[in-house]
Amino acid sequence: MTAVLEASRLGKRYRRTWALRDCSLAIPEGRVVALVGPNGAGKTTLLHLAVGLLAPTAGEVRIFGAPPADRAEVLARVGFLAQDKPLYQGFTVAEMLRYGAQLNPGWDQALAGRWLERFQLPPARRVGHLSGGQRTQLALVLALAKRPRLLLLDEPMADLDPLVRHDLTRLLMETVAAEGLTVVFSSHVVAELATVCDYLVLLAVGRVQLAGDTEALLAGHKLLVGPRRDPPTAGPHQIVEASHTQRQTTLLVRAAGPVHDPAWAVHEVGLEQLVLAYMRHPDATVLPRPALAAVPHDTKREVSA
Amino acid sequence: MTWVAWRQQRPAILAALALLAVAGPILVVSGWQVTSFARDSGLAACVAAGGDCQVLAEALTSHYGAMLESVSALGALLPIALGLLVGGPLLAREFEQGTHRLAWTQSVTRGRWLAARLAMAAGVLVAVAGVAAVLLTWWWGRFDQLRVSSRAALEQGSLVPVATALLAFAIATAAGALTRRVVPALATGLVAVLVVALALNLAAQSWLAPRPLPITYPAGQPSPRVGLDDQVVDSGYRDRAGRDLSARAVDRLCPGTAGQAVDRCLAASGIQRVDRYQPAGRAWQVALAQSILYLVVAALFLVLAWWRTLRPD
Amino acid sequence: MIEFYLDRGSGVATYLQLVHQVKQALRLGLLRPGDQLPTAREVVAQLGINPNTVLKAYRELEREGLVAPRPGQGTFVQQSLASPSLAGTDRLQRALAGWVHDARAAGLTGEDMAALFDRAVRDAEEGVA
Repeated sequence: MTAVLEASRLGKRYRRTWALRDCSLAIPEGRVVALVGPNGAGKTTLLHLAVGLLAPTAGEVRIFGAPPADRAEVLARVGFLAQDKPLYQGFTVAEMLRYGAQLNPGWDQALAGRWLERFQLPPARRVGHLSGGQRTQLALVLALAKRPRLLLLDEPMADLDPLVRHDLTRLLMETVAAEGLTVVFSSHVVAELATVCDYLVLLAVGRVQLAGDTEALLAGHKLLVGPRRDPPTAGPHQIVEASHTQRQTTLLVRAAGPVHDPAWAVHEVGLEQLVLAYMRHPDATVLPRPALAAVPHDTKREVSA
Repeated sequence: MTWVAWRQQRPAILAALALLAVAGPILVVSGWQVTSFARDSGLAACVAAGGDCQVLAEALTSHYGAMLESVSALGALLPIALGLLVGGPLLAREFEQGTHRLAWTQSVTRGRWLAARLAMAAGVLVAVAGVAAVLLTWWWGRFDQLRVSSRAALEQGSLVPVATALLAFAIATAAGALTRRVVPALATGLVAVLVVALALNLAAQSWLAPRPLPITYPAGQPSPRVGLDDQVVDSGYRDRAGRDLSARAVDRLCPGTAGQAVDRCLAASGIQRVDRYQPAGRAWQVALAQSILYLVVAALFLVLAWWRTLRPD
Repeated sequence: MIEFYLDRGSGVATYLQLVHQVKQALRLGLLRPGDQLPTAREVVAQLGINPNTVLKAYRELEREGLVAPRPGQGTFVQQSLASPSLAGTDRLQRALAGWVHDARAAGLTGEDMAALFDRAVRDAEEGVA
């Protein structure tokens, strides 16, 4: 499986601050990737670097194996939706579609028309008179109707009501099912991602804290509950987070193997739980940097039930 | 990308046309007024006959002086305003609204996108400015014919107004690329255009244009070059000995405005007039030199805008 | 055709929920050999989950021999889980419904009932063993 998006020690500095630092990733094809992290973690910066709106200060980023330089073939294979869902306020919905058709040779007008109908977007209405949810829908149609191989979405679901959000999620997943699209979307709401994404990248203060198959990540972490042990130790397992009550200690660990210590009751970890724990401890493990050429965790391991 | 370039340019073009729709009638009406006044007062006949029409000319300027000043200012600013309106928002609005993140993630390169946008904008601007230039030329022509003002020749033809508009366009576009906000782009663009145009104007006049020719003749009498289509750049007085005299000094020596008494006094004291003029054919050279200079500098500003746009942040 | 539902708060992996629901349907005879399972696209269109999850669930069921893909057509049920003893369970189901009704009237919660049921099953199994 090839990596559609790779970053190697990618960094971006604005004046004095590093928005992104030493960031390395290799995202396999066909995945639905959640890019999570608190506000200011560098998610938008990473996406903008990936799509060529920004140039790196350090390191490099590649999509489809090439730098996202200003080249028509590369641009045609990537769909991007910026956080503020930019559209031309004075254009009508129909004119926005025509815009997309003119600027993208791969444009599928029939597809765009179907989505327009599904969202019930009136073609003659000006963008400025659409609601926030409708604007997101239109912007998404623009990104999808060019038939990209990779879709990058910057917080697409923020400011959407739950109904629209669910509808858009379904549309995205249908497109993934139909076309094998790779989707990377950033979000700072983790709870909803568990059913949708199968690859997770956690950014904190401009660095990659976690990156991998959600399945592998969840399988590789355990929640240990046992009698109070302070300072906490867990043998060979790396402790991500420890919390203590008077009589009990709870540890979230990165399991180096099966947990043999009988003192612990071993529980599975949920995705939100995992992400929040790492977000609370930004100095916890940063996974080793994958090389730009190789893709370290691409095989989907069948986890025995 | 033609339709896209046109559709994106449409609001600015409509604004430019609106400006023209306002300025045009002002120019036409004021021009007509002047023409009919000149006819009625006899100034037109006087000029055609080749006499010294000082009195009649002053009557015209005193009657319409204020209006002429403001309309001529309007005329000078019109090409600049057109260029600013079309160029200012071109890049600035994209950045201000964040739509550059949409435009530069479609399947066209930034270079191609910008080239199409600039070509469409400049092309339409040339057409609109061309119309403005024709109007201005006509308007200045009224005065040129009446020997009332000396600026007409510089604006001869449509060259200079169109070049001015393109210069303003280029500067405003570059300002937009640098400031990334529409209002600052227009403001800095305006200031920059005025400064640059002024500087280039002086440069063109001083170094590129051929020097005006002097001609001396007794004061009170008509110029020997009357009837020829000269552009008189400036005019002064000299005394018998050849020293320059100010108009006030002349007035003290021979008080009064005009008339035979004044003429006789002037003749008696040996006062001469010195005109510096550009013969009719030369005005074109000056206009051409100025226009070329404007276009070269405009190109430089467009290169600046291009470079700033194509380089990712 | 079975229609899936998703319990997002349960903490159970999505694909396992799908597997479980298929098995449950097989047990109750709602799905029979030869029936077609919804395509990944259909499930995704309804639930908005990752299509790989559906594929994973179907692979798991295939691994257990319960379903098999037919290329170009879809995934079809191979084998039934309905044990013969499940036939004629209508009477038992009705009795169970009656018991549940009585238990609720007595003020028991679902958890209480489940606890009672589990203990009864365990007792019976231990009694036999």
